[in-house]
Amino acid sequence: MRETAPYADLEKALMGLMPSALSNLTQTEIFAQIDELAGNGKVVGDIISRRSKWLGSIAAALAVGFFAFSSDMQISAAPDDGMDLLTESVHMGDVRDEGLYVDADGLALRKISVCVVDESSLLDRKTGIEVKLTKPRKETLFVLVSTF
Amino acid sequence: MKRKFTETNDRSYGIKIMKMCNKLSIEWKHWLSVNGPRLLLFARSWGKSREDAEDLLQEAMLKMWHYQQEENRGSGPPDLPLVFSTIRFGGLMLHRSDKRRRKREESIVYLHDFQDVWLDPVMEDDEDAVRLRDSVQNLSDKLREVVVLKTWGELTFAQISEVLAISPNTAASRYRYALEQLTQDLRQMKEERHA
Repeated sequence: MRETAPYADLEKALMGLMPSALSNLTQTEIFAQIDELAGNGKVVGDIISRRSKWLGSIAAALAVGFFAFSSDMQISAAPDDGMDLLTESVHMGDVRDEGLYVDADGLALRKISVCVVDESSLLDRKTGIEVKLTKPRKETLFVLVSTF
Repeated sequence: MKRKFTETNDRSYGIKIMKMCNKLSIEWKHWLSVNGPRLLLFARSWGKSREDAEDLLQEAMLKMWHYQQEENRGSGPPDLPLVFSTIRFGGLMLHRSDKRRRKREESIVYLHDFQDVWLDPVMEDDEDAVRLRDSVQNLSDKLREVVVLKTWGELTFAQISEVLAISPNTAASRYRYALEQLTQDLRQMKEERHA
């Protein structure tokens, strides 16, 4: 730099001074913060809000059905890609009563739409980072109505 | 109602997300390892202690993360001048709240840690380097921040002008003035040593 050429030696001497490193504590904290922000331990993707109320006994019945389904779920073997599947579960989100429906046989059914959320946790064995996946999907169920 | 759970698809989707998260995390950590010390040095101008400066840096990193996740910013580590600006902004805020607090606590005497240094000489027994370090620390805030950004931040005068909201000419003249002052300090110290 022409303007500061007279100070070349000084600039060289300044470069000989090294800024102090971050303390171990702060570096560890920021690294942990980065891991968390990058997705470790956080839900990735959209989560359907669970603001709607349960619809009485219908919802309770559905819940029993879903938990039964969840426990029956089979996890198929996958090729070793360095990831471990830690947990897998199915939860119910919004439940909406969409009214009565009569099928071709004349049976009275109540049409219920349910938001089902599949959740799974994967662990990267190499880095120890865990990711929780949340995949919402919509299901329509028909429940037989016996009393009015 | 029969349902089919697509476990295989979920898994590959999960792995894709995982790899993306890992890559991003590694990029940011590497970036911090390279730039952390120079950012901390700049933050020292604003914090009363090393801990304050580290808090400022951590806060700036968090802000930068969210900023970089916004659309079309690529999610990767930010541009260095922007981080310096963010630290400076955080420092200004801290300085304001400190001023208010000082007014309330005028009777309290703070003890300074004189062992706490901002820069480390490459050679620990280099007396000139130690003197130079002390001179840099004794520069006025306005001069020192330009020297820090230019020497250790490796910014151009144009970038420094953006960070400090001054003109590039002002940045250049502050830098030149700081070098003059450091030269005088060192000369004076040498004369005292030989006297």
